[in-house]
Amino acid sequence: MLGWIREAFLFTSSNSPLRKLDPRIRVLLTIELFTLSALPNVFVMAAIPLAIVLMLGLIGNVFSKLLKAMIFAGIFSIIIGAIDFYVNTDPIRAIGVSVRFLGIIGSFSIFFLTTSPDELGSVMKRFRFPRDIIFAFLTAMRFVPVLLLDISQIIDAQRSRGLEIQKGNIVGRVNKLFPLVVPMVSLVLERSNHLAEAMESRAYGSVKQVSAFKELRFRPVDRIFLAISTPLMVLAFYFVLKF
Amino acid sequence: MISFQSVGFVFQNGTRGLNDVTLEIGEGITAIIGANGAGKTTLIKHMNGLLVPKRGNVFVNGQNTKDATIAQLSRMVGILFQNSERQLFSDTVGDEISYGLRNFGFRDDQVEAKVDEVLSIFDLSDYRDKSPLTLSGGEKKLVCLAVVLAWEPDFLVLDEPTIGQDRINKERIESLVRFLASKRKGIIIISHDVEFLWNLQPRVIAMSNGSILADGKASHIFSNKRIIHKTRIVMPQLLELSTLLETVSNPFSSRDQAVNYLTGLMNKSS
Repeated sequence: MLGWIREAFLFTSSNSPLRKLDPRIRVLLTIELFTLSALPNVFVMAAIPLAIVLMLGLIGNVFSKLLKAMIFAGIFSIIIGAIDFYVNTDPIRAIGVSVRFLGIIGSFSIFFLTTSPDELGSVMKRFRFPRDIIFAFLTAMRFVPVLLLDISQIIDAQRSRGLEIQKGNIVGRVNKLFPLVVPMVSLVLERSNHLAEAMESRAYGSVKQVSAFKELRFRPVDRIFLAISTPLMVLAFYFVLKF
Repeated sequence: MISFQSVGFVFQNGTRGLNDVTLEIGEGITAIIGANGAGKTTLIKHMNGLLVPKRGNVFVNGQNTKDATIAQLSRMVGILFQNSERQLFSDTVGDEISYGLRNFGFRDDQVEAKVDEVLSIFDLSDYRDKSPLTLSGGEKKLVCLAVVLAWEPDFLVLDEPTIGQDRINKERIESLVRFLASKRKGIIIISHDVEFLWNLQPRVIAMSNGSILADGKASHIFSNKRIIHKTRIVMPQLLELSTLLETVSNPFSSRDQAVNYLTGLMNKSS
């Protein structure tokens, strides 16, 4: 499962056409898809943004990874749909809610699969986020694969000492999380400390304005994409809001 | 006996971990060497069921790993992982050691006896009531070794046991390995520390790209330049010196004679 999370949501360098776009365009696309996914209650309308997400996944060469995100989210979407059906007793609406959730997850998955932490940092800097906020957010993103590996190693070590997480009643299983959680927290604190020392040794915070190796600039391909996608998005919003 | 029969393993991302590995490991000391990514850790994870072969079978004391739980296999094969200190979580060193024993069903009186025994082996009796999280890196490693040794598995797998250890602790680990081998246990050591391995004179299995490159005595494996190059290790100093002596006029009639003489000299001086 940890491997699936890693594959479905974490950036890996790839030859994706979406990567050629300015990251600000990708942020805009994600916001549009998220909004489009969150609005509709009707199943058919909720399927439109999901279809756009899947199409982008195909165009962007990240379809197989996007599919993993969809399957992972599918488990939760079924639960959400079931709860909605229990409350509202409307199966069509329940399916619509599930599809909405999938669309939301898919829109973020596309973004994180095709946007490197550096690109995201450039966008946040352009939107004048405070430098410390940018650094904290990107560090958290960058350390996700590291922490996933750590969790995996801790689980292996504890299982090699006879820990059987699946056995026992609910209380027993919760207690069995203790040998996993404590080392994890300890490791995270240790890593944070090491990172702080490393960044201080590299003069982090000594200057207010830091230059960037790459500056964001709109290119013709970005303008062409905006020209094509904007009317299509307007049309999509029209249909979703109208129905 | 741990038996690999035509074992193949591929990771989720398509990387080939093991490629048609067939080998048997019994009692005594066996070293596994190889470059980073050669498949050493993948191999040892198959021994206690953390990984299950995609092709072929692995048997531990006759038990197919596909038909046993990790807990059942870990009772027979104790693994000390490379970053083993990350597993520490208990309030005291004593609790940490007893954790595995309780998982394996030892009685309270047995647990107490075993904890006392391993703490004294590693000179850690004074640390019994201390938090393992406050110990130094080297001490944590010794605690983790004590943890694995406590339930007396038939096989002990050590993944880079000498990293971060000073000379005294290295010698302690070496003595322990020899002691366990004399008790007819199987000790499997993954290490790049050729000097440590050379002292033990183990059976050496060299791996490369998920396959077994060579399998033989330490003196043969460590003197083979092709294997040295593929596994990216350095030749043990005594062996290198005796190889150099071959290129100049020297009083020894063979490399083995040179190695034996120099080894004897080193042992006398220490």
